[in-house]
Amino acid sequence: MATRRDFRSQQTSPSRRRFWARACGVFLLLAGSIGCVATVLFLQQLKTARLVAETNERNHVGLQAGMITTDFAAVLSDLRVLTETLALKDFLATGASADQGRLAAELQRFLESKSNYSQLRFLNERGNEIVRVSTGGGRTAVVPKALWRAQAGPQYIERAYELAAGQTFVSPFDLDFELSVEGKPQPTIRFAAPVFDRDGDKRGIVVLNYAGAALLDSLKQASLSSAGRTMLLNADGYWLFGGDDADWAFMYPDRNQESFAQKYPQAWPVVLGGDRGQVTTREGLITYRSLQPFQVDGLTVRLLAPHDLRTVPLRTGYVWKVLTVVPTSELPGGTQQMRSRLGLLYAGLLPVLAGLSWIIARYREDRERAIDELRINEERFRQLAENIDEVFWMIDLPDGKLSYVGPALERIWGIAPLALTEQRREWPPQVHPEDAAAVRAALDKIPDRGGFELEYRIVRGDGSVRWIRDRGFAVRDASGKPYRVAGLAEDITDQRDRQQRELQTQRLAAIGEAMTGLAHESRNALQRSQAGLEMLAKRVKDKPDAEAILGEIQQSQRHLHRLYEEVRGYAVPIRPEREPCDLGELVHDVWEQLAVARVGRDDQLLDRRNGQSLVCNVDHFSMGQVIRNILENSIGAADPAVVTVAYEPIDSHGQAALRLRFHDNGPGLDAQQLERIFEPFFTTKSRGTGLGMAISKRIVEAHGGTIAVHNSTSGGAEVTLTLPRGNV
Amino acid sequence: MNSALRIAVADDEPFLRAYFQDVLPDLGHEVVGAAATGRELVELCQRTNPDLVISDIRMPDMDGIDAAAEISRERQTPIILVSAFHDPEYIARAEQSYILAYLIKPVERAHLETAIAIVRRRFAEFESLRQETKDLKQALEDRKTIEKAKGVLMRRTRLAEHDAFRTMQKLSRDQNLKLIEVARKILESEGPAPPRR
Repeated sequence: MATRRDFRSQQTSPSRRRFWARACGVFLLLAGSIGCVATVLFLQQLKTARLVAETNERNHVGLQAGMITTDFAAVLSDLRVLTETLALKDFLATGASADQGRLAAELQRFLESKSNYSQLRFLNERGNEIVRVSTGGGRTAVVPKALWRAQAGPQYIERAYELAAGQTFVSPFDLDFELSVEGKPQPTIRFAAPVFDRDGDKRGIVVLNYAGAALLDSLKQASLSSAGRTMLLNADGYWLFGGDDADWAFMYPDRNQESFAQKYPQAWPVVLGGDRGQVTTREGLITYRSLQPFQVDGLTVRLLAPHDLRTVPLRTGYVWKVLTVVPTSELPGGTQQMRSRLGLLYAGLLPVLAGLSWIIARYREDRERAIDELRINEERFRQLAENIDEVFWMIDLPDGKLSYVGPALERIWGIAPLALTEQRREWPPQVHPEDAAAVRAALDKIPDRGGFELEYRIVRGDGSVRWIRDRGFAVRDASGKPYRVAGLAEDITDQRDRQQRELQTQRLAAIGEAMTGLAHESRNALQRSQAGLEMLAKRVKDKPDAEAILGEIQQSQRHLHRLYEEVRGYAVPIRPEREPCDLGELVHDVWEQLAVARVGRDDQLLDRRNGQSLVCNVDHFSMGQVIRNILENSIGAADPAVVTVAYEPIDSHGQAALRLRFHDNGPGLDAQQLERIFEPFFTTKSRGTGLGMAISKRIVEAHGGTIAVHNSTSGGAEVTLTLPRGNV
Repeated sequence: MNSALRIAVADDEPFLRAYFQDVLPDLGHEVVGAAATGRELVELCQRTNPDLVISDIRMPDMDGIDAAAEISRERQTPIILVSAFHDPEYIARAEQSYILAYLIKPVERAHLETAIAIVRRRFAEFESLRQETKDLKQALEDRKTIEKAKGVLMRRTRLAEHDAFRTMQKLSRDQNLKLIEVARKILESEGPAPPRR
């Protein structure tokens, strides 16, 4: 736990920063995407709502237009009925005042049954009024002739009289100042149709005043179903309805500026030009529909567009525009309030998102740390398994097949690990036949014992033998049953060699110690013996046979002495005292020292040096001893002996070295001699100690060099001595 | 040069003492005595003042190296050591004394003969060198004394250096004394020597 905390605290600064960066990233992503989605949804919603609103307005406008058209269809049929009334036909036939009374009563009943007419008149062919029925203050009455106002011969009467049967005159929709109710002029349309008698002669006209107030009232009622204001315009863009104070402005010469066309200059051309449609302007959504109130199916209505009516001329035909204006603020999404409410809601959501981001970042952080730790652990294992000198291996139980083996296998066994694991061979490979049984037995016992430790030999591909120390451990599952064995195998060949050398050194040291003591004691004994010999020699001076015996004793004593000294010399540790030494000169010096041994012989030393430096850093004395041993052997091998010495500068493991080859003309060495020449106490000479070459080898090795003996191809033995130059 | 030497020998083994007494006369030398221990050897040398000492190292009560040091302290005497041991420790100690040869047992008559010859020559050279050194030292010492006396004379008589020296030479001639003796007398008359610098 402590290590974990340490690990964390070490990592704090960069990991903290990374954590917050990640949390911020997640937060921005969340906030951004939610904001986008919400915005898109909101806009979609808005669009739908807008569409609904637009449709609603269209429907509303269509409905109003239809209502007006239907209304006027009824008016036209009423007028037709009136021209064909029996009472009117009777009156025309008789001209009797009784018939006139009946006609007036008939017309009065008609007007009473209808609420949307304000006046009904019958005029004769001369334009004189015969009957007038008016509605005022909720009452319908036949107006007596005395109360008739003088008619200024309105043109429409003449026009209507000119009409053919089935034709109707319709006046523009305007204000009737004659029939003011409580001082207010009433919106009125006058309908007129010619009247024919039973003979088919034109006898006059019927004039019906349509009271527009009812129509406008119903428009007003219906306008509640619109989100905006419902309007009715004439073809010049003046308000008939919905313009508030600007209604009927065209009736007043001083107010001709108050029109829809003036107030909505952007929308008006569109409205004027199109039959139906919608337009969005700065003022809002405007939905319009053209209306020709008197083009009704099944009725032939002759519309005469009257001109010069009152003050304002009509520019176009009898076309109205029903429209609604929904101000921008009434449209869906039009208000700032809704947006700010949405923004507030979003702002409220942000802390929640921040919390969520923190949790996500924390989770990812933990997960990554766990993955990191896992990766580090795995990396550690891999580094361990791949870098240790030992071969790490695993076998699966119970089949005992190899499932993993470390790369060190290649170095020790000389086999690629992959080659072994893919074949799923058994562990260990290439066991020495002599050790195979022991290895098998140890492996078989793993499940019982839980492990093993064993040393065995392997035979590499090149035939060389290596010693292996192998330790295996059973890996157990939860139930304690071993299912795998993991182990480490190391190459202990060098270690064993070193141990053996050490053992040899120790043995030699022990012998050396014993020999030193022995030599000291022997020296005293030999001294006594020597003294005795010399004293005795004086006393037998005149006896040659006795002198000869003494001579022999003296020889033996000297030999014994030398033997002691050599054994002691072999046993003591060698510590070369190096100094620069010309080995060529040393060979010559030693050859000269051996003059005693060459007395009476014709031996030769052939020196093959060719000018190169033969200086090495060696112990002069002990190296002389080595050369002496080599030369003595050569001299002993042939008579006369011819010894050739060749020198060769070489490079030994990156170090400058000198190689000396001593070649003699003797018979060479047999197999046993070649094998054992460097063993201590091995000798073929009758009087040798058998230590000469063994000591030589020790001396050469103490100098870091090598010495080897073999038979030359040209016959004779050849000793090869390689010595590092050693900082010359 | 090959005149007989008077040799003192020492060995704890009677047989080897007998050997030396037997073989050395054959080489033309006189054995003045044979000691069994180091002490005996020191006493023998005090008594006989031998020309050469041949001694074993390991002996009871005092070993050969210590004995050699003691002998040399009283009188410079060439010494040959004969031992069964040649341990570095022994060799190091032997180097410090007047030991001119170190022979390892077993020694033969021929070894002794050559060793004695070499030691005798080395010792003679050694002695002459030592005498030379001694003379030079004395001369240097005298020179210092004369200089000192000259200084005293100069101070006392206010003479120049050259004249002071002349005066001393004249005194020497007149009184038939060596110059150094004149100098000593001057220094003695000065009384207790002034404190040294």
